[in-house]
Amino acid sequence: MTIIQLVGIIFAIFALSRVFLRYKDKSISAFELIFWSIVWMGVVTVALFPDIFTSLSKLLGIGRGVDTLLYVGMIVLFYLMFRLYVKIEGQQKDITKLVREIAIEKQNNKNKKCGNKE
Amino acid sequence: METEGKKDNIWVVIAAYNEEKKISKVIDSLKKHNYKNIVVIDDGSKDNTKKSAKNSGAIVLQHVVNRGQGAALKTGIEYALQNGADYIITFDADGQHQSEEISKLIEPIKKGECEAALGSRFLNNKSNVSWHRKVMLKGGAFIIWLFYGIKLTDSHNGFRAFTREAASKLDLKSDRMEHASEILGQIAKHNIKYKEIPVTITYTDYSLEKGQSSIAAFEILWNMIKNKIL
Repeated sequence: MTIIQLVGIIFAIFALSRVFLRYKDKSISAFELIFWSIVWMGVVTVALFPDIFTSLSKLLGIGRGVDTLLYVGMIVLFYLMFRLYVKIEGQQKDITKLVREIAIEKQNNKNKKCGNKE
Repeated sequence: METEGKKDNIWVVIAAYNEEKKISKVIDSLKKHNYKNIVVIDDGSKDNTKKSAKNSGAIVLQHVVNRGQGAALKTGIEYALQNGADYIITFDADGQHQSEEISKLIEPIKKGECEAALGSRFLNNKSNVSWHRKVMLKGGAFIIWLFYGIKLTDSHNGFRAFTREAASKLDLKSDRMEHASEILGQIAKHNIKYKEIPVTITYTDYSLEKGQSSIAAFEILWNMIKNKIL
């Protein structure tokens, strides 16, 4: 076993433990627990048996198994980044909405208290 | 040129971020020209903008955190609409615009010639615009024509006037500077009748330092594209 395999396995196990902890304190749903468990267990499997990608690589016409893994990883990362991007944009808009509501509400309350519209 | 009409139904909306040095002067000048409904949105300023504006007699709404000029203007427009504004003016906080020119923007609207009046610094030659800024603004006007099919002589001029109906149609999603293009997009989308009116922009060292750098134009363009796609 090479060092990189060992590092991969240790990191995946660490990540798995985090996933379980997050599930225990209910910050993620059961579906997310299953999804991330599969992802990280997949990482462990690939780290232990790097050759399983070789046949897939041949099928796709990519030279080495590790390359396939890199390509797939990059695509997944880009997709996740896009999702994050969209989510953050949405949250930015929500924050603005909240800030606006607070600003207007505060002034309306003040107007009520003073009993005038000035 | 001042046409002395009723001004109680005109609301002036000013977005201000760290403008404690200029905001009082701007408000004083508006008051001097009999505009009573002045809404300043303190967009999470770190200085005493809120206090200065309040002491000068404006209604001050406060964004608890900075959300950008587009967001602030929208807050002000919404507040003005809620309080029965018939006409809404957007005005800059840094003293670039002239209070006495508001009547020039309102006039064609009151006459029913248009629903929105947009200030243009290129219809007269009174504004001291530097050549690189001119290139940027004209480039901006070209891109706006490409994006929305609206032909203008100026772009990103913050001096505008709207009827109540036109203002309530504006659905502004951009928080930051690209709102200026978005307003034009909305004008195109809702077929709001508009007219460009010559206005004078006074560039001072202060307003240049506080204002948009020419590089920011590219950021605005990027955000415009982003808003079109997402």
